[in-house]
Amino acid sequence: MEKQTVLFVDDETNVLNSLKRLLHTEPYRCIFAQNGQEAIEIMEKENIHVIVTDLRMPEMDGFTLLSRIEKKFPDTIRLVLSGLGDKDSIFDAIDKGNIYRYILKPWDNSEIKIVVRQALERQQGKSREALLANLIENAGHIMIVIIHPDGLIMECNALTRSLFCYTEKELLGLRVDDLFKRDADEPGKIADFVAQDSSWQGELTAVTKDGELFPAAMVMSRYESQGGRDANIICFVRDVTQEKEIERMKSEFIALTSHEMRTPLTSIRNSVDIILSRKAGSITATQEKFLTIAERNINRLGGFLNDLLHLYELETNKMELKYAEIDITTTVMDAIKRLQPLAEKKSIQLSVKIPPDLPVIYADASRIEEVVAHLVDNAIKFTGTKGKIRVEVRPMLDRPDDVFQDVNVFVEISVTDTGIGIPPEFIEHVFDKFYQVEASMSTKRQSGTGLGLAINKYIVEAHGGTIACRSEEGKGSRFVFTLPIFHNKRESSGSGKDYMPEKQGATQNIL
Amino acid sequence: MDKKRILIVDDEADIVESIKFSLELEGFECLEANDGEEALFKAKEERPDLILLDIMLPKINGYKVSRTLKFDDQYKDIPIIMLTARAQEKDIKIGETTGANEYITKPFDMEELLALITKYLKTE
Repeated sequence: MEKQTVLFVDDETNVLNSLKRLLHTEPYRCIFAQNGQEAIEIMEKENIHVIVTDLRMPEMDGFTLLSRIEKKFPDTIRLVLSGLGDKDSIFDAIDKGNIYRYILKPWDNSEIKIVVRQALERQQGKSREALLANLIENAGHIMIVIIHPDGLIMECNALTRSLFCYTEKELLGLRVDDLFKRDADEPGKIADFVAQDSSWQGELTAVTKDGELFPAAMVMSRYESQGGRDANIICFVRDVTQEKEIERMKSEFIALTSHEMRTPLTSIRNSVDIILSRKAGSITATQEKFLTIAERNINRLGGFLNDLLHLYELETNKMELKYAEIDITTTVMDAIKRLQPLAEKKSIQLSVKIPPDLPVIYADASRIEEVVAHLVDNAIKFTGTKGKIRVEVRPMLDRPDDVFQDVNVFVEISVTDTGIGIPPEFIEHVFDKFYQVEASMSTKRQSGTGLGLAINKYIVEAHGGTIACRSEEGKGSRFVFTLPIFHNKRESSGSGKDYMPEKQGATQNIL
Repeated sequence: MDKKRILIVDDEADIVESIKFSLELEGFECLEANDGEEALFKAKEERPDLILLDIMLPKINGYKVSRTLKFDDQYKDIPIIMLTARAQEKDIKIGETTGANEYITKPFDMEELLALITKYLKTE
């Protein structure tokens, strides 16, 4: 940081000399001037933080000097060091010169050191305050509004005024509820959001002076000063019109693309089907072979479109999870039953191990079934004939020391296969969108969209669980996901009736 | 026995062509409409035994066509199978409120469609 500078002005050389001797060990730089004119010339060239001046000087007296400095350099702290001794003239000087302190001649050495240091500290505080005020006022991308706990707007920056089309004076008379509206289904005053908690964030509708509306994202927090007596609320607000527009366009684009691809795909598929089913006449074996390839790839493209929409819906939370108390055994078995024929086709031994008395899970049964089915389907795809796939469910504790915290109790569902495995360098990417290990490998394998595992991850995480993968190339893979047993019950049944799993059986084995 | 008559409503001539070919082979008589207005007109005029209805149609969309027919006592018994390229959940939800009997997403399996059609025409 730049060394602070103090300018001393006195027409008596011996005063300046003794100040020079006194203050040369102080942590600031001292400059000396013998008259008002010289002082002003120095100030025009140098950044002076504090000026200490005598009052009685020839040509330009101290009062004239101080009033010029006040106008030209308002940030400089002004001190007087003078022999003008009576009370009235001191008060007169303080009042007229609007000065910070008055030091009487002859001075006390300690006093002058203390007063100059205090003046420098004050100057530093003032410039920091000015810097922060400037920063807030001119923040170009964020609206900053400070409100009183009763909702009255106390401060706001330039961007707030310009986006809401109000003058500063108009805005300061308004309440926060005049600027922002909540959704209709969430009644209550905005300032009340932070009454209970110390912060709140969410989306609101902003209303300008002309009654125009725009979407706004707000982060609100209470900040306390002066030992908690002043508890104002500071709001950071962003205009999210553009984000919303981009989101809408993305949604429209996906819907349009999906439609525009499905329509021609339907005609292609129907036509290929007609020929393959020999409804349009007989075909040769070679013709059939290539039309079968066409058919398989039509199905692949259709599947991809479905996955793309599916993932998009999950990402934008358009897919609502239908929570209910579910019996995980039934859910897992339903998925397995669907895939059993596929496993049989490849002579894969599909075994299931589910202990009795599993706790009830609060989840969307169809989504969880989808995850299990996808993992098993993948396992079948990547496991050779006569391989083994094992599906296991077991309750687990998150960490041993959390035994008494029910929220940390999970069930773990795993699918282990003896398939081709995943090379170590690909493991961390398997849950990424559009990532497919076999696409990066030279061997041509089963088709897939590369979206399935990403979809699984979204579903599991939406339930508050985690999903992971371990694999050894050539030996097999193991996918494990967890589901919390006591899920946040958003749609509490309130019936009070305990749901008991239907299946109380011991380990079940199929095949 | 008279041939069962199916009204195919789609603005995509290629799709109509392929569906029509398959249905005629199965012994159905096919009627065509290329927009919602024509669909309503033909449904009322010809009283088909079943309607295959696309959603995104010119003039009047498929949802409206279905609603109009299903909320009219004279026509509400005609089975409607919605065919659509829109597969988002919200679209399916809207579809469910239109009274249509089935909802099938493009591209669909022709055998699947034939099975559905047979199911509705048998129960009559």
